[in-house]
Amino acid sequence: MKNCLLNYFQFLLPAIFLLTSENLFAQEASDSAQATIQLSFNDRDTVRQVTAKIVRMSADGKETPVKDVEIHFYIARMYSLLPVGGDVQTTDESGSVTIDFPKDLPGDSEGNLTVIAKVEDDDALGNLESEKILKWGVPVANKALTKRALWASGANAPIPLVIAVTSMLLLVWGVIIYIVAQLFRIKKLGRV
Amino acid sequence: MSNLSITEEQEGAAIHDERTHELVADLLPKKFGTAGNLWVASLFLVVLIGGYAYYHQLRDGLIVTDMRDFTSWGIYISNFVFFVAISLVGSLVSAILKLSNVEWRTPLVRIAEIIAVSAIMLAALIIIVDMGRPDRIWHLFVYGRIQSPIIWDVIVITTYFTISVLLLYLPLLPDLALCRDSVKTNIPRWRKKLYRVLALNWKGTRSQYKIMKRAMQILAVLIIPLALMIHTVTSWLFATTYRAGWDSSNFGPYFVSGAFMVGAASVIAVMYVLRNHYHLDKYITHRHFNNMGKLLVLLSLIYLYFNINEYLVSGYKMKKVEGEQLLDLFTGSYAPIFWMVQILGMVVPIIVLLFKQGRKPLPAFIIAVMVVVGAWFKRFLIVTPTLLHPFVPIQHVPESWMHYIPTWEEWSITAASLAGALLVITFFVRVFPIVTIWEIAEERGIKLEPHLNPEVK
Repeated sequence: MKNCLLNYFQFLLPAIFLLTSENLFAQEASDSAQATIQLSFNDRDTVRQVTAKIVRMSADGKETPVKDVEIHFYIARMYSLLPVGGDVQTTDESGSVTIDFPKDLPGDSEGNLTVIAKVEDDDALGNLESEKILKWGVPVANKALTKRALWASGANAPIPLVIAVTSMLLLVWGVIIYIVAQLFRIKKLGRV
Repeated sequence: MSNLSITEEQEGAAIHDERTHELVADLLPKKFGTAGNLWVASLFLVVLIGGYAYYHQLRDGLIVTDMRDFTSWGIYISNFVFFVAISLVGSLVSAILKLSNVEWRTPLVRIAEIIAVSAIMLAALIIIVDMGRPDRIWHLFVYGRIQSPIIWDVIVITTYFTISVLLLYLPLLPDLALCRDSVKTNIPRWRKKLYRVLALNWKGTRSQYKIMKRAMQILAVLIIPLALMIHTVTSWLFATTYRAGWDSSNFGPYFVSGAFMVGAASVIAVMYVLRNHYHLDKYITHRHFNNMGKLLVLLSLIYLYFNINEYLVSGYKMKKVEGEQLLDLFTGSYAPIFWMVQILGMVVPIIVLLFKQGRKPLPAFIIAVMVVVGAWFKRFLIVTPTLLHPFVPIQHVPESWMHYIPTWEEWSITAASLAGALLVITFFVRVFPIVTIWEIAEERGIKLEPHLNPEVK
């Protein structure tokens, strides 16, 4: 009897654990699915600020702020993400974190920057991400690519080089076409 | 008196017929014997193994090679430079010797041209092999920048190939007509059709000859600057890159002179094999070996001069990274290949060919093979050691990035490309006359009459 009970618990307990843990993970997943990062931006006087707020949406559509969650802020660069806002900060009672945004970051030719806020590997929320494009960067036009130069794009090749290559090509291929025409002439002469 | 002159005329005509018959019988393409078939089978085998290795490369990517971040150009590019170099021989024999009125060049012209065409074909193919994504080759033509030496190379290789084919084809017309008119029944139908189509209704009229000769003259003038361009631009692929060993204004003439040297050597090697195999002693004589030997000495001396410039000037200064690279060549891991190339591939050939005995067919052939082999390794020495001596020191990288030892896939593909070039030459020799029949007939005052010719085999 004792053995029977032992065997019973030996299989039952892990099964209960597995079932409950699965439920727990499911709960976490649903928490994560319901939580979002809302981004807002302030550009007043000489200060630019980004505020990220984490809220959890209940089934009836009510938003509840989530506190004590670490948020990372980044700017998307060509190959990687540039961290901004200093040390990692956690959300306050209102679920918000505000950082000062640098004013000297180079953007694209129109000054666009992609601001990203991320929650990474949070125990309760998992991974969350929100991003927004705004014109807070310094516009940078790649003059090297728009000016005619050896290192510019193909469309902006130096005119003398284009003329030299094109004229050489026309000359040589003109002669080749002439020679091919002579071959046709030889063929025509043979028909007579 | 009148009867006598008729007899002399008839006798003259009979002798004429005999000479024509002999010339055409000697020079029309012939069937391969056992040795020829074995040769073709071995070449096919090498090509098949190379094809299998390339299948590996296509399936797994360039990781099957030993090329890594530092050695991004390996033996494929060395092989490409080698092929481009050899292709210059077409312009040397067909154009430079023609315009200089060198009459002994006649039996060598077609040999030189087919070497040039096969080499340039394989040069273009090996570049595709070197590409990680060969399916994107069309990007070169669509997105290429005219400022890039790579695009200049694409343009000049395409142009040079076209002109070389024309220069091979034009003087082939009378001989193609000869093949067409000599055909009886014992050759496959495709060959009859090939001769008929390619001969372009050639009848040998005065106007046809006039047009052909004029076109050949124009091409001979045009191909010389193009030949200089093709190898100068290839040298610029290296020289326009700021690298130890490549950063040299000497590179253009250095490459061109080396190319003429290896091209001349390749003609000597091929003409020796053809002469022996087809018993062409009457057409490719000791005089041809003697003269080509002298030409090879001249070209080797010019190349030696550029080598001295290239290595001595840099070696005198021994700038930091350049010095390390040079020491690696002179006394380091590449020293055995370097000295083999310099001594066996250049100094010994110059010394041997300076003597008349050295310019006899067999010694000239051996020396020519040494020059060609040396030239291949020379291209390897130009490409690889430089890449392993970057200006930024190689640190904290996987061990496999620090050296370059070609894999079996690379060797197989490279061997296949060389075999492929030889196959192109072999098939040409099998199907078309390798020595220009009509030009030799013209020089010897023999009138070709197609109906008198023996059958093509």
